[in-house]
Amino acid sequence: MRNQLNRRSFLKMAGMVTGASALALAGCAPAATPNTSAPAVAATSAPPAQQAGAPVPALLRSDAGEKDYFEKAISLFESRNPTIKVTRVYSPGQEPYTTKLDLMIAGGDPPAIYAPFSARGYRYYASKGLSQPLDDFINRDKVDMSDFFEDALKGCKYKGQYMALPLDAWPHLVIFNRDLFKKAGLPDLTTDWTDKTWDTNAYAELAKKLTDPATQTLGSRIYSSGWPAGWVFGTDWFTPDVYETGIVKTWIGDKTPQTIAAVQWVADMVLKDKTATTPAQEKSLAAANQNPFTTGKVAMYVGNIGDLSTLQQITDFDWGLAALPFPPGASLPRHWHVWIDFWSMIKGVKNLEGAWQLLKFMVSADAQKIYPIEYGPQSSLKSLANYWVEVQKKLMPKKTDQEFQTMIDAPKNEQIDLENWTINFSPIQTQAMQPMLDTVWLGEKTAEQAIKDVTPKMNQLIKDTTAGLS
Amino acid sequence: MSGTEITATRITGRQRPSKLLRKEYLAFYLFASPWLLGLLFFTLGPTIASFVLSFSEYPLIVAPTWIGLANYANMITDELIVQALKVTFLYSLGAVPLGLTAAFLIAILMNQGIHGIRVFRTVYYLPAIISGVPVALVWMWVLNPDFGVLNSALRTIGIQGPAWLFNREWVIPAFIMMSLWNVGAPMVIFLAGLQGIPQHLYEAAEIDGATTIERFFYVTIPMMSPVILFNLVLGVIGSFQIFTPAYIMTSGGPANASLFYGLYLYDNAFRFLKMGYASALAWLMFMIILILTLLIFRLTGRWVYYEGSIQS
Repeated sequence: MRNQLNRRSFLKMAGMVTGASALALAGCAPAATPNTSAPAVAATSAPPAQQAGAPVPALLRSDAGEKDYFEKAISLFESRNPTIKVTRVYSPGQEPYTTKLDLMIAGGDPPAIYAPFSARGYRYYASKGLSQPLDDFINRDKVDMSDFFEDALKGCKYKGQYMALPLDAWPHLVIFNRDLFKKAGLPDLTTDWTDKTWDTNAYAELAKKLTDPATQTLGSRIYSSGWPAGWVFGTDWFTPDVYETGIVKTWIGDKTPQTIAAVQWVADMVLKDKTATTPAQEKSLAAANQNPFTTGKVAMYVGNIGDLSTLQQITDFDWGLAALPFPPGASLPRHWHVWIDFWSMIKGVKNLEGAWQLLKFMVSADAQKIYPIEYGPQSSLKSLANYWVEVQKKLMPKKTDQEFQTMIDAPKNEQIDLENWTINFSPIQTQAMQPMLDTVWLGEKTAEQAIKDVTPKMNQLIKDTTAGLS
Repeated sequence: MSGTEITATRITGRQRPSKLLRKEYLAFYLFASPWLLGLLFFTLGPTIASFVLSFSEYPLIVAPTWIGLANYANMITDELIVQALKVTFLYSLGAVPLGLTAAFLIAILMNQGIHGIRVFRTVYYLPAIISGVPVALVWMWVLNPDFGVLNSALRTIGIQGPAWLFNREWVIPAFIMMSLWNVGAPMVIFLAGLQGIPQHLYEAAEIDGATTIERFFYVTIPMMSPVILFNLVLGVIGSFQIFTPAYIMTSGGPANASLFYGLYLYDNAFRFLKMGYASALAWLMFMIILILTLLIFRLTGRWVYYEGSIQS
């Protein structure tokens, strides 16, 4: 039949459709600019003219009830700043949060302020020229920077400029089952951060004493199944400049005997002594958001202050809090991390002044009394330490003053972590560090062999991921 | 040009379609337009875009930079691609034959004229309507080494089950076993195929003295061969695209033992923001699937029987 679609007509039509599609996409995609690292936001259009009344979009986390606290804090801000309207954009935390942030930036509609929460940190965005420097605002408004934890502030600088401000502190402590300790005739663990008799040797010995196969009781959860395992003896995987620059530049894991020994120590507790949970047990429980300690069958573990809300619900046994142990013989200072989150601003927002006012408010004492303190973790402001204790005492009336003091002192004895503050740690961690550690936890390799084997890959990844960074 | 040729051209020349035909065209495009627009903007468009992006360095939050064939060149030295392909091929080799066999056998059972067969069919198909994250979470519990249903069952017969998802040797068999969850979809297709086999072929075979097994191999299998081919192709494509269970259950671990190709692609795209490299990976996957599909068609030409087709 003459009017049937013949092959030529079909090809012609397909060509037209493809061409139209390509044109449409070319219009949507960010313009290709050879040899440039211009932000996608800026690449598509000129920086927007400042609009005083423009809404301020804030990308917020909505995990485990956090939304209510952010909502409360922002409502307070809006009531005090009626001319500034905040657009709330909520996302689950961790990876979905950064993906949302990336897509908002790529779509040319970035949030004015954001807080990545333990994922790709602000320095990644700063390295791409996307972060708004805050120094001028801080100086203009005379923000009291002395009240923030010094270590956290150090991390808020990129290339000498403030690009973020800390909003909370999630330190680590040892959490122990007081009933199991009593049953074994053991005293409570120390709450004193300066007690040098409390070291990892003592921790391992206690774990042995508390392990009882007859009652299926384990002395400890695995000390760490991730990269912090290399920190247990006080040393690091990388040179210390990483915390200042935010760039992993030099791998020293293979040249640091303490790091190798620390990983082996963690593995030995699991595989040789059988006094700690296996990564398999941890992961299977983590999938259901379960903490093995709450079963009453684990005597102690290195936990985070964020665990308190779960621990408060335990009615079957009494539990206590203690300082982290020193490396063996307290020969080196402790090296462990306090998770600190921060607010940062994306460059080129429509209402820059409104965005700054919101950021400044969110790190202020008034906002931090709501989030993080009402929610659970500590504030990034030293002056709010006692307020945090007041709030927590109501929730944990049985906890002693010494235990609260241990919690307040924890951030001073810990330092910022790698993943939230480092531009190129994520690919290194995913592609080399964790697979290497897995071979140790599976008992396939010794720590020494695994670290030696991963070194060429590690160096290659560092080389690849630092290209173009300075 | 001769006069005869001119006449011929006039006769066969383009004729203006009738009013009715034009109306039909319009109606066709109007009704097909949602699908056509969807294809254009959500399938064809992104496909073209990903091809272009595969020649660029594109960290998503900054503009792409043209780097020519560098992404494809980098793939040659990327040892994780080899691991991802190995894992994916192994999974495919296990999951596809197992899934097809199980689906076919269940379909034969579901094709029996017994009381309450509709209930059985529904029950066997039900799991297929739940997929993705909930299924992954359920299977994490099933495969839990300490208190999972599977290891508990094994313990009752004196077998200490492995750590499944946390064991390098058992993680892929665990995923293969889990793939049986979706056996309902191919089962329904097999069932439709089985019900389409003319009854007289069985009757003729029976008259000729064929046993039940002979009827199965000489009537059922040949008549079902196009359906088997269809499910085989879909199964291979599906198995190469596995992502959600690995993302939720293992994140590629332990020690990259479950680093499926789709997961590695996702990591590059959204975790490391190497969108250009991820696009190149996607095109490699497309080529692999295309070659495998063509290979299957070529190899199956000999045994697939199409009723009514003229065999050369």
